[in-house]
Amino acid sequence: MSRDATSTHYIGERRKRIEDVPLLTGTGEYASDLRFEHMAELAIVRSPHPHARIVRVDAAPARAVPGVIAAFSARELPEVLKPLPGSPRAPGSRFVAPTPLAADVVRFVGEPVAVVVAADAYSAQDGAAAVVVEYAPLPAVVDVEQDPATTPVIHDGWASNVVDHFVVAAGEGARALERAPVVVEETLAIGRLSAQPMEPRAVAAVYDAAAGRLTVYLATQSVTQAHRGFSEMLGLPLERVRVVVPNIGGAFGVKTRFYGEEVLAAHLAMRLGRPMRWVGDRREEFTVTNQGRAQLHHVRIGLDHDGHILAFVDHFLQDAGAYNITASGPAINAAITAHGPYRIPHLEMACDIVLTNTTPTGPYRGAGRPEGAYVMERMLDRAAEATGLDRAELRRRNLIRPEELPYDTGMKRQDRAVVFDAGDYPAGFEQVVRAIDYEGFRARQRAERERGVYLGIGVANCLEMSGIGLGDSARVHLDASGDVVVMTAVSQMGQGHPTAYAQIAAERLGAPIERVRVIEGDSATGVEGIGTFASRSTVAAGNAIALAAQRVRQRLLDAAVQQLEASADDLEWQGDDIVVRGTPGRRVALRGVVAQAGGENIKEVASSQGTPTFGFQGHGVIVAVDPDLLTVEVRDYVICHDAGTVVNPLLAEGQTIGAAVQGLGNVTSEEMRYDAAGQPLATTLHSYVLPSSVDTPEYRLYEQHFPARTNPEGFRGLGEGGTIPSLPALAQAIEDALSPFGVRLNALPLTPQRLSEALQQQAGRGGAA
Amino acid sequence: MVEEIALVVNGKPATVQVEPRRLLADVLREELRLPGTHVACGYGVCGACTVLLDGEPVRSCLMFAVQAAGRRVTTVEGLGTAEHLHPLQRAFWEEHGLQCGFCTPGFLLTADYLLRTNPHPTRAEIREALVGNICRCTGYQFIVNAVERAAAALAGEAAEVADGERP
Amino acid sequence: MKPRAFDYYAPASLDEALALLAHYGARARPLAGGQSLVQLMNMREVSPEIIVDLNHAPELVYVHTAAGGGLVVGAMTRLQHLATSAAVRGGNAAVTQAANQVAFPAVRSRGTLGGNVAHAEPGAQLPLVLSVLDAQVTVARQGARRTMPLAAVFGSARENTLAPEELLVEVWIPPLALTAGYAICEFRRGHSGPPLVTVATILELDDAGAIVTARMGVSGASDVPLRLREEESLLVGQTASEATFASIAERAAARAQRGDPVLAGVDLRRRAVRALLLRALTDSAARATQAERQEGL
Repeated sequence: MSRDATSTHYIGERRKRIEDVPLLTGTGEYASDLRFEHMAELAIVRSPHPHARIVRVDAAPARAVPGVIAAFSARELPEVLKPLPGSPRAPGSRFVAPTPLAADVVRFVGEPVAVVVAADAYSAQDGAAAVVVEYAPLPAVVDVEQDPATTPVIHDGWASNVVDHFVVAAGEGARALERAPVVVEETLAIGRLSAQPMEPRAVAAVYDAAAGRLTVYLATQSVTQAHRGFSEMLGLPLERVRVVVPNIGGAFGVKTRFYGEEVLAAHLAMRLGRPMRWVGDRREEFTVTNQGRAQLHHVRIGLDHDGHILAFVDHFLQDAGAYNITASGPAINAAITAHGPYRIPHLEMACDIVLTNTTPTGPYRGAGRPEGAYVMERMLDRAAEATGLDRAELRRRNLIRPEELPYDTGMKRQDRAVVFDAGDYPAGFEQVVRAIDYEGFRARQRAERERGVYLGIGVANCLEMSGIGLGDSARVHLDASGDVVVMTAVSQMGQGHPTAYAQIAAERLGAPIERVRVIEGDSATGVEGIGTFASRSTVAAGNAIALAAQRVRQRLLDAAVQQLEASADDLEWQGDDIVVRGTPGRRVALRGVVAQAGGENIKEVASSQGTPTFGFQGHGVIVAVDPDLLTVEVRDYVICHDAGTVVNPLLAEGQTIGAAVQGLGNVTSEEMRYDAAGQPLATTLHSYVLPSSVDTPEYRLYEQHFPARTNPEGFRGLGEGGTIPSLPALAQAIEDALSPFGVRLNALPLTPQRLSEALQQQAGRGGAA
Repeated sequence: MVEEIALVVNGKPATVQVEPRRLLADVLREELRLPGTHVACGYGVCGACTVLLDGEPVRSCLMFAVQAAGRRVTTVEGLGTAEHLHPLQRAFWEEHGLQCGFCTPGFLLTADYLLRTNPHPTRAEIREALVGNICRCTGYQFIVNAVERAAAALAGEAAEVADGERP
Repeated sequence: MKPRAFDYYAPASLDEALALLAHYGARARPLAGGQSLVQLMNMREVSPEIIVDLNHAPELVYVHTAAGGGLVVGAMTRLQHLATSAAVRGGNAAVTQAANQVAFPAVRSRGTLGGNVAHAEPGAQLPLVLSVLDAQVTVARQGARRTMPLAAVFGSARENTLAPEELLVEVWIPPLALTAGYAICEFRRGHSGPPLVTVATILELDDAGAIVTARMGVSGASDVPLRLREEESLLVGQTASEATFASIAERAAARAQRGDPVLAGVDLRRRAVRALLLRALTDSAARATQAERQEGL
């Protein structure tokens, strides 16, 4: 069936979402909305200490609380006293995960120690408050920079708290720095953050004892990983476990890993013979759910006098928190993303992943890429100062030109070369520079300063790596009535998969989109994949869907061509028939064609093929910084991004703006800080301030469309790109705005409090305040 | 101590027996089987739990259900249904004013109150009115587009009604 | 989180409420709008045994014009009513402004004047503005009433000086002179967060631009709203000018003592006081001048 003259052009269409009506009318179900007969609720007793031996847990007082059904400490649940399963990780790294409840030692404030089961959530919390736990506090390690000679070791028997070390290198690495005429050195820090999706984590588990089947309803970004993990932790064969993913109220990377509460809910559903539900609260979102970022970089950049980058050397520390469950991913991403769209002949990114007595860290919107971009872009700013070049000009001189693509960076990731595939980075950057009126800005800035208004400008670029780990499978199923069902193993948490994937399937199949339904997040489909994160879903699942849909179409065509004695290009799917275009009399019922092709239905399973792709994104921002209150107002924000072949521009824009606003909050108002004793200082939305509708600007978006060359459909991911260059663009702009005060801003965040500290330090050095 | 209270929810009378400490948000979600009202922070900052009490927006996580006795409560389920979407729901749909949807009910009811009190808000006024509702997904821009679109749709409807009344 | 269990009373009159508070004393807490108390209860920071719900006692909801101008307002008057009432604006427009700055509509629809004042939150606008205006409160207990300056309600951050069996029942707000100019300026980290430092100023000028009366205060820089009386007397008689205001602001800033490591340390709060006071004084002076012209003086 031809694609050109029919109505089956869906890829690229700005289409409103298929899945929205239940969400708009309150009937869409999230994990905390699920109700089952005889369901009980869990509450968790958590450590108030960052590091302590557990001396004694007495759950008896909890059992006496009205409404409480049961209460358990770790020792009373020996069946699940094993480390949580983890995410795929690099060989050689020391993976260390907590047990669902801590038995002997607690290692961060919030670590689970006991669980209470009750008839309702209120009684469960009463019960949790009644559990008596005696602790013997141990010294807490809070700094990521640690002297192994004097720093207590967090896990018994280890020599230090360094759990992993890796190097990503290209060319001669650090040696090349010695030849560079200009070398600039800085220490750059990206502080800890918390993802804060609006939905607190929640899980429900139901066990059918007669059938020996467990069903877990979990807002997870990876249904396949969850399926395997529950099977492993609970000792149940895979076919007796089903994981169903309800609507997810935001995730941003923190719902990819296993948490103890999920295992407890599943185990207790089996043990006590009734459905279990655990719904977390906002405090638990702060103290227990994975935190993000937390990197400290010692960087040197070497250039020639014309501003060409010769070498880039970065030794950095990733704060993993108390356990190394998911910290490696962001660290590696940072190392690879720092390169950016620039020519860097010699590079060395060396990382130590270090444990501290704080909440474990892991992927959070960008998952290390914003940190990598931050480091490169800020060093380019310092290099501009050192060479006397304008910041934009320095970037221009180093941007890889389109004729140099594909560009082999010399770096390797999982033994494969990191190659930038397609795009026009200089054109993208020029678009940003023009749109933000970079050339005209200095005059404006001078004029405004005279009025006491401090404007600043920042421009920053990145390449968003997407589509890692391709190999996800998808199934496309066409039945005789003409209904199409698409199944994948990724999860959607608001990106619009049910719509985007229907668009892909409908176009590749030649079907009317109204007939297409997408099912995700159900291990019973038998479809497997590694999940939704790292902006990979559309590339991974989308390609698999396209391939499977094409195969279904081919089988349909083969049968129809026979029956209609026409050529495949003249055939069209109309309503319940396949017709020869232009001659409506020549038609055959779809039902008959399907029957001939496959019986009751035609189904195909395909796996995506391909390697990662890199999409350009550039940001330009103008801010006004209040010189007294040190609050930041964004006056203009321009984004140019290359999302390759875009499935649905409406969804693409939504992702980009949403990601950019997270970056804005990350830089100007959010900070997950711990005191010297290891106590988290920001555990409410009063102290961890998220951007509101009044704090955010109107983003102006520009697009490039260079299809990715490393997957058949040319798709790129774009869920995180809006965040990646926003960190350096904003930092640059804020520093530029405050340049009359002479402050150098190397550490994020740049909240008013942090800016005030920077200015005080400057004053201490004799500068103006 | 359990109290029996009678209230009107989405136009229908409802009677529940609740402990005084049960929050209105939880009673709506559980006893009254209306889970469209979401609890995101549980202490009144994020606005996800916003419902209308006698037409005015309130944080349902900061009210005990017993305090709603004798009052009229409107939740997102009462704003509109799949068969009859409210113009705000339709506008959010058209304009991609939601992604994960968790904060959306609170936004819809807050926006409903805004448009009833200020039918022709500027974009700045819309942003101001929504400042007590936090969204972590959309970045607000398309939400503002949606409220603008709904305002125009409602003004158009009002104009139609007015036209209809002319002789 | 969910609150602990409590016994609940919803008295139908003020007398009943006071009787309950007299009976239960410190075991009971009065529930006004709930925007502060229920928040604390949900986080289990406060877990009263007894809740006395004031929302059914009609005697506490009113706005009257006081003899000699000004306003007499019942403690259970909703903040949204304060923010939108023509009578309040006519009696004292600074109070209208302050009420409008409190949080969001969903908080103002339930929050009350009495609750907002009694919660004594550092940075809050109404406690500050009412202190600066020299408002008075009536505090009742079973069988007795007393009147005192509103400023005496505040003991420390989030602590008032009322005894457990007492209730704040009424606020008397003096009138705002027609020629007075006021300004209420806030410092927040972001708009979804609370005000960290708030400054309120009210000035009256003569036709030569000299300051005739000055009222100033800052909230959030110390545990209770700080009335800047010394700075007020320094200003009276001086000509309104940026230099004058700047030096007053500098002086007042040094009095900031409160700080936290995450949101705003002492140094940042001092910067805020200095900047906000300068802005507020400048705005107040401009409005006072404009008001004078409008009054034909």
